[in-house]
Amino acid sequence: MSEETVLEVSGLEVVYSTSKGDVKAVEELDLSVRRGEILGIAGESGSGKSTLAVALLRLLKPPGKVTAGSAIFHRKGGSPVDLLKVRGEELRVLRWSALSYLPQGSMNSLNPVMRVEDQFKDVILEHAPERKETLADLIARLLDQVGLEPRVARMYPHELSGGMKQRVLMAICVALEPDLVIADEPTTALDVTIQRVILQSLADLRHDFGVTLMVISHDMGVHAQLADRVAVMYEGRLVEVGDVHQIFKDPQHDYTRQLIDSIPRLGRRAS
Amino acid sequence: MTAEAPPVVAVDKEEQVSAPRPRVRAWLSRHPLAAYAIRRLGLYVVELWGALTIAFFFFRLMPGDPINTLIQSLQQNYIYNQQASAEIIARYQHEFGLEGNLLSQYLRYMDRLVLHGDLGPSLINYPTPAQDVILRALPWTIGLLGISAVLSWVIGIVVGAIAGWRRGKAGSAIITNLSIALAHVPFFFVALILVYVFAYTLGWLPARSAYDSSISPGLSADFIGSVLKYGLLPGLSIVGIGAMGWILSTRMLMVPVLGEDYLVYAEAKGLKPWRILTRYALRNCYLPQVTAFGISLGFIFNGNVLVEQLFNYPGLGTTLVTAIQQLDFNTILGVTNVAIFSVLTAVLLLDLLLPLLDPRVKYWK
Amino acid sequence: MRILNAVLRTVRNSGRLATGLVILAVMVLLALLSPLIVQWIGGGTDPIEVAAYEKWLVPSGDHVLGTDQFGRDVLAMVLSALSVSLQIGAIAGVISTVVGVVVAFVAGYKGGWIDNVLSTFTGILLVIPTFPLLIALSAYAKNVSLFQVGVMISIFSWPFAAKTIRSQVLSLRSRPYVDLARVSKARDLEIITTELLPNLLPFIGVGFASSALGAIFGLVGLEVIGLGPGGVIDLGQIIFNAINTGALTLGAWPMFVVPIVLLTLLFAALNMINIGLEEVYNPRLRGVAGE
Repeated sequence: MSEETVLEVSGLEVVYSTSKGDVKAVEELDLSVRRGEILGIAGESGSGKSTLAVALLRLLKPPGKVTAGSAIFHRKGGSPVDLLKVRGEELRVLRWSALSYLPQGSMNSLNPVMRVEDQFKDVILEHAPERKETLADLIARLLDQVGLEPRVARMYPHELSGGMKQRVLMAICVALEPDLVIADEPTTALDVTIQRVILQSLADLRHDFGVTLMVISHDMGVHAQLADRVAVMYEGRLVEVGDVHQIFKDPQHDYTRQLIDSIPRLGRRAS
Repeated sequence: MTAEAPPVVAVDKEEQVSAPRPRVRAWLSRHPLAAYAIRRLGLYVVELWGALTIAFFFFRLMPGDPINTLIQSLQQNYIYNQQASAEIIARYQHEFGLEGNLLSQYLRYMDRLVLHGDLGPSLINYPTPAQDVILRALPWTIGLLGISAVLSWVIGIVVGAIAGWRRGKAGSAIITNLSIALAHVPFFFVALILVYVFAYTLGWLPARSAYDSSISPGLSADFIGSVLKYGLLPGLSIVGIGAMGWILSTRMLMVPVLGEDYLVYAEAKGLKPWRILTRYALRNCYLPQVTAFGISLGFIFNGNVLVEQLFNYPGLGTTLVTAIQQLDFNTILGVTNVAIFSVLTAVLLLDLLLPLLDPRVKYWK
Repeated sequence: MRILNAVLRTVRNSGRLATGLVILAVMVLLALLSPLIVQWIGGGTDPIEVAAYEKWLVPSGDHVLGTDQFGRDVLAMVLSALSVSLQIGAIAGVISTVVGVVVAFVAGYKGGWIDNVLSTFTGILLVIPTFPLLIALSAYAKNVSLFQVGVMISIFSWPFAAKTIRSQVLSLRSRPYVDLARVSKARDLEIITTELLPNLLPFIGVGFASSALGAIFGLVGLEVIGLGPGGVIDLGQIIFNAINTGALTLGAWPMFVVPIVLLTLLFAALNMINIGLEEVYNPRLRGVAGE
């Protein structure tokens, strides 16, 4: 792991405007992501971790609004850009080739009326049209990477199980070898055995592609297994960032301790 | 031993009888699409039979049975020649299928209609059979109504999709509100205004007929040009209003789809907006519109009758109105039957097409 | 009082519904006041009497919309005709809604083969072009009253109401509180009146508006080809007269433009009420047809 940063977020503030005034979902958030690492973002629901992901991916929809801060993104072979400021065509070109997104598998993120291969094809050809010749091989290789057979390419999303869909999404998100993948609750709503497989595949992807991953999850267990560093969010603020061992062994913040205690353990009765 | 023998035989027999059924079932469950097609075809036959029957009894049971009215007026015409009148009336009764009771009339009518495609003689052009009168008018209506219906569907879906896509923008709001206001206005109103403005006030386009009568019909450029020119105003009035309904319904289907996860995902993929609109949003909401298209045809036919009548367009609508003015029972019923048949068949074909367009739906359920 | 409050709340929630209702209310008011207005226009004489004035007068201060081929005041005619059109809409709307509600309840609530038969029948009537049947019916029923025409038109417009309401009955029938009612109260009729009907009122409103719309459209259609009921003048008949007397070529535009504008406004108002009600009461559609 290098000390080179991919993303540097500073002073981020996101508000949702409601009829009863603005609600701050993310406040004064500073965070940096290092190239090649897996950074876990932990916190309960409503802590602002998903808003953070959506804001960085520029998928925030009204009434949500970024009101302050910057997110400097260092691409390979490109000048640094502020993710919160890029617009239009520049943003569109940046997407997927440099910054990709792994949504929750239980969501309907795959287009129900397109074959899996076509959902690879459109994004690859959009950003890397020169790969047209080798496309079929590439798709098969990507599917193999996440442990799926090549025939999955010809299937429709409704023919896949939840775990298979999640793996297809994983294969798509690394298709263009992006600098950063933001994964939003990648294991939520999958059953426990599938969760393990997905976590293993994510770890493999980092190993094979060297991708930088930002994994958002409410489940401290996920971070314990996968992350190099963990950032803990509470009520829109970052309360603690640190090495995964340090966080689990020696949490500095009360809230972090509570989160860790919420992981069920063998041999201990629920109180 | 002997006491137990008969039941064994009985069981054997039953198995023989019921053996083909499980086999058919098994085949159908292995070919769900075929099962769907067979079921849909069955429904089609029932619907068609039901509709034709409703139409028949509707006309026969109407207060002041039209044919008897006609025969009575014939009787009065022939009042001075009793013998001739009796013969002629008998002939008419035979030709119009009025012998016997209602049930045997119905059976004979269905036999003629279904097996021979015979609608009986028309009165407008007696003794030309009604089906010939209708066949002459049919191409004009298919041309006018078919093209206008498809055009308004396509335009409505494209504009409606864009209106949904750009929701919240001023242009979208204007189009939506305009569609709400005009979607249920009869085609005919627009036709009247168009005729007034373009035919009478400006004199740019013809107001009556389907082609210039000085040009002889044929596959010449002149004739086709003339048909297009004469069809412009009636077509425009159907397309103008027809599209409004489709804009509204497409927009309603579109907006929930825009909130789906796969649209957010498509945006995150950095695809071009047009591609997201067509491949992701539209592909997921146009299917109900395919079914709706078939269902709308009957409604469009209704509106088309008045448009044809206003333009004196030589199609089914004008034929129908003329037939009614002359109490030409066979032609009225014939036009109704043709309309019923076309609409139900169109709906059937579209329903059979759906499984090919939509990979998701399990049609065998 | 509670009902009034609920109505007010609903209207406040949807600008579209409010607009539709206001337009409709103004038209109903105009129709109700039409005898008085007509009297006032006539100033002692009947302005709709044949040869009350000169023929084909162009619009002027005396005759805002001019006069027709018989020398009748077009404004007075249009106002009385509006009242006739609204009456037809109301008569046919009520009949179709009642038939539609009954069919929908029997089909949707009872289910099984009854539902199959009724739904297939409704489906056939919805899909096949019924206008020829209506034309034919009216061609042989020339001397009928307004009410009878309303009944005739209802024969073809009830399926619209039935379809809308049936799908709502189906969705309501499976709600837990209906099951609860079914466990505690045995009688279907009681469940229908106390549990289902109140929740269906908005959709019954939708059914009413769409069948009223269809009925007015139907009568206009009949009038335009000269097959309307005798003795009364509705907006369609004024349009028919305009076409047949050559008002288009003579440039007497008020004779067809004004009825068309009034009817278009009426159709727009009914459709706004329809969509407004759906938006407010169908959560799936809330904001969908929005601004």
